[in-house]
Amino acid sequence: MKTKTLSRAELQKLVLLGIIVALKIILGKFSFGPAFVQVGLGFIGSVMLGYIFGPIWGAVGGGVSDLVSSALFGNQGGFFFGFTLTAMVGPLIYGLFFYRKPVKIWRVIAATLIVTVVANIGMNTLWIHMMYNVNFAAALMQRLPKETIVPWIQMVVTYFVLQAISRTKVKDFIK
Amino acid sequence: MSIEFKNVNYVYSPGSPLEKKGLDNINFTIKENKFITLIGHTGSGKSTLMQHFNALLKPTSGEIKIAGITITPQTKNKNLKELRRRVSLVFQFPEAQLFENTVIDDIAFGPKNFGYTDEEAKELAGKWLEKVGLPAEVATKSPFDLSGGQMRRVAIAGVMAYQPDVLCLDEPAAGLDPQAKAQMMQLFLDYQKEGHTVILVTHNMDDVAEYADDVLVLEHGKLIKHGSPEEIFSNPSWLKEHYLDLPTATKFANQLTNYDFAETPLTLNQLVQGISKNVKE
Repeated sequence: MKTKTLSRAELQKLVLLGIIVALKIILGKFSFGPAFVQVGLGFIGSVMLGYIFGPIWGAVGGGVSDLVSSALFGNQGGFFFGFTLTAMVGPLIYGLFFYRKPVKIWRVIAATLIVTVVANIGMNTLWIHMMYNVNFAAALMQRLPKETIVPWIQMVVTYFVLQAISRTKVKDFIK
Repeated sequence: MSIEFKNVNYVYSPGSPLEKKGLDNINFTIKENKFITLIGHTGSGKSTLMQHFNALLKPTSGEIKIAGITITPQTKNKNLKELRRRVSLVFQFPEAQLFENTVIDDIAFGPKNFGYTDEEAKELAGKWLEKVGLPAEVATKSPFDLSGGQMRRVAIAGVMAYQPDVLCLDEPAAGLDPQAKAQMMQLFLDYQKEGHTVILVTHNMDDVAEYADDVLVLEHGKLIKHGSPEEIFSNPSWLKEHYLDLPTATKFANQLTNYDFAETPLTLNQLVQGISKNVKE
């Protein structure tokens, strides 16, 4: 059987992907803010995956990060594949907006809003509805207040994170 | 003023299965404005002790007095900024903490954090850039475009720019070329001579012999010896028992059988003087 050998550049890219996935898992363990609106930092990992690797590999990285994180730390309420899909959608959307594009405020706002609406409000509420059989609207109402506050904080953080990454040499690795 | 540790204990993750004693009943008093070295083999608690100097770790029990501030197990994180302005740590491989757009901004970050205005911080940064031996033209470069040794200097300048009373250094010269290393050590020695305390964590006994006024020896989290370099290096068999080494000059002197030294030489200079005295007689 003939196998395709990995080029040096591809290997470098793969290793960097592994590192960013690890970073996302660790960031996901942190959160800040007062008790009623805890802002988790996992989204920073998603932004990095999308920005550096683009929508497809970003989505792969996001999925892997959710699986590895579940394996290492477990999930509240048990493992559910829906949340893995959510973890893939975030970097995918960020990738569509940020990958190989200059950092712009409108991109940050649009990407964050779409991720919030599609992944956090739409999909995650659906998963909760499916897992626990709660009424979709009820689950939505319960999550809505937080999801209207947090994105604005995320946008500010995302903008500064992208500014910071764009001046490092990280992109030289994945040309 | 002095730095005082009174019955200081530190336990990592107390009450969990991973519980581990980091520091075990540490007691010492060291004078300020001296050059102090902290030695001991890997895992002896040097870094744990170092992180107590500016309360990155707070003692599980006991009391620490440093730079006019007292740290106890009840010390709150809120009031530590002043302590950290006075006592600063340079971690191993500090070049990893560089992050700003330009070198000058990176050095000015610390001073700005401790309340200097933008202009003051920039001015201090420029001064320290020169002090650590970097040319003025790197000021506007990105820190990521520098060589490893230059990055190290930028990081150290950033910690020294707000002129802490106590400067703690963890192997600051690791991985530098001999000339850069000598230059760095001279910078720290000058800083101490200007009236600051320098605490150096090192594995290099030559540095201990060369620079230290006072030596703390740790083993398994206990302070097993505290004295001048002369006292520490006076007993080779004790050192060997505790997996410590003699300075190169002392080792060499010990192998010279028919030479007679008034005092055991610790540094290269002392060795040369001792030998030339012997040769003349």
